[in-house]
Amino acid sequence: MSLRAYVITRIFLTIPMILILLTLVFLVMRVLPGNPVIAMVGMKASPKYIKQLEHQLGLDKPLWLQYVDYLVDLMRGDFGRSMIWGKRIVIQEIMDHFPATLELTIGGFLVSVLLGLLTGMIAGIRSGGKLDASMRIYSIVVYSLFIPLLGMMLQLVFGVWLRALPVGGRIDPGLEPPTVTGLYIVDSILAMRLDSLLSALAHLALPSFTLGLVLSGIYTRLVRSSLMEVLGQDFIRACRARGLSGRIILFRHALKNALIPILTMMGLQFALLLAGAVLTETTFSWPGMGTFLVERITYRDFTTIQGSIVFYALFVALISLVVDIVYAYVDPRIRY
Amino acid sequence: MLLEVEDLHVHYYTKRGVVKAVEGVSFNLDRSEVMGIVGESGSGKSTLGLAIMNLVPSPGKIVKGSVKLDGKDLTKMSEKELKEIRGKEIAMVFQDPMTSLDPLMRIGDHIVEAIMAHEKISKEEAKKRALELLDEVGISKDRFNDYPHQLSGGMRQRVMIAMAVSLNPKLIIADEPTTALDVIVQDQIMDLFSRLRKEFGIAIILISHDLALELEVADKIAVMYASWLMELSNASDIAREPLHPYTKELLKAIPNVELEDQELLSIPGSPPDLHEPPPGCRFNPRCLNKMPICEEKEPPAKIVSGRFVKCWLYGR
Repeated sequence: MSLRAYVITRIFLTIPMILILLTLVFLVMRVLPGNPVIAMVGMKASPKYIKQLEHQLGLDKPLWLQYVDYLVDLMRGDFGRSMIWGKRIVIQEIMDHFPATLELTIGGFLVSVLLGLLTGMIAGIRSGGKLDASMRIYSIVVYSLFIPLLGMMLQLVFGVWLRALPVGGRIDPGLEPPTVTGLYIVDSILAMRLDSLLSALAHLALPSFTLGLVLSGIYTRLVRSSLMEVLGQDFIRACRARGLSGRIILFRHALKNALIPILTMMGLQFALLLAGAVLTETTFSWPGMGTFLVERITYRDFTTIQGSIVFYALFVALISLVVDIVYAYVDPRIRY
Repeated sequence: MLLEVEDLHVHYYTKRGVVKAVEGVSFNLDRSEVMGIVGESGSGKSTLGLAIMNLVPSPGKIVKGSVKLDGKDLTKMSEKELKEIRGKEIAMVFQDPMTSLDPLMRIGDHIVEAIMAHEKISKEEAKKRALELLDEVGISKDRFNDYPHQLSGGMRQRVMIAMAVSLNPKLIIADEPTTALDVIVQDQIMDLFSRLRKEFGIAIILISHDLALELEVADKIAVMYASWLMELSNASDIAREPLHPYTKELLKAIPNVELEDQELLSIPGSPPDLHEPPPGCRFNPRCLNKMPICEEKEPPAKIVSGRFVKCWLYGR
């Protein structure tokens, strides 16, 4: 199978997967205890009013019809309206918060991968030595750091003492670039606004580093063990016997092979980061999905929660699609 | 003389203690000569092969002796100098073709990379050479862009051989090149070796546990047992009149296809644990000609009518 055929097949396989995801979300939201209408208007509302609202929201229809409505609406990009906050449009609220989280996630992800690769490579090449031991200690120490504490320490050092970096928010007020993707860095580049770009990068620095440093420890371990395994394989010895230089063996042969199992981890990690950056968002008053969702869950804003879950599910399906395609691109054995 | 190995000692420094994997091995090899190294698993023959390239894996080390290629001692060379020798002057073909190629690299690129590591030529030229080489070892040119997993074991070994001859080396060390392959493919690969040797005048060291195979292709044969070189002489002499009791047993163990209902013979016992080798001669626990002295003192290396043998049977 060629790479193109593989990609097309894989995309088609994503459709049933997404359908199952959507069905699950629908069922879970219906099975969960608690009447959303009562949550909306309170226990004291008259039964007549409740009936009327249920009718308005289509909750009195048979379940299968609700399911069809739900799917049709989603396909039109209609995630419904908030039940609490003045009936705001859910997809718009998500689009207001999601890019911030995505930007932070990408930043944290890049930092963790870069740090993890570097430390893991050093440990893997020098396995058994002092450098290896220091890298292993590094991985445990950073992994056990508590994000808010680390964040506050960095804020203290870089924000308060050195006054080098901002300690909260996404960008200096007034510098927001015109919205295209919602990612300030991308939008600044698109609008050719250097001042916006620098401000966005400066604001992203500390939260990304906080998030990335803590997660890099996992990669240190993974890269180390994977690289050690590959370096012990026959084809590496065969490369040496061919007189290839150490640099070529490491970068062209060993590292590429060692990264294959780590690729899967990266995909999972990225999806996890998207949902799990709440602590970092709170520490750096980052206006992302984390704080937004926690708030909505406390108020039982069912439609917003359901919409966000669906949105996340779609996004994670997309990431896993991308990971699989990258996987197939790197490893020819997957394609055939 | 192309290759002179003298009094070579290789030790592995393991957690359980020092394993002396090669002890006091010496031999010479001429241009376009084929030498077989035969021995059981763990006899040190593979380590010897790697030691010739100064490629003994850690925790192993060459502790004594020299390996001279055209008079230059490889054991005293820097890693940078060795890089120039490896692949260009001495090439190696490994036992398991399934794992000896990078699974993420096209086979053609393997050959191109090997050529370009040693010669300053353009990628196009290297590719042209690689295509010719594939043809030479009997792989169709349209396989150039295939990945290793798309080839059979025999074909992969051909790719390894194409890489080995790509820089016209003086010596190829083949470590059990056919062990992982079936008998028919084994024959084809051995034919390929003989042809390349005739065509390019390459000397070959063929490491194998299969004495019958060695007798077919080798000019001379070295017999190793528990890291000692036990016997070294012409293949025809070994076949006709083996000197060492171990060689005799090995010859007897070769099954004869012409005899029906023949019982398969094996040498009783197993090779010693090299952490604690037996005192005296290392073969003494399994030897049919054992004498009292064999359990006490290491046998001397003797030259008997021009042939090397390490055994008390041939006097002090």
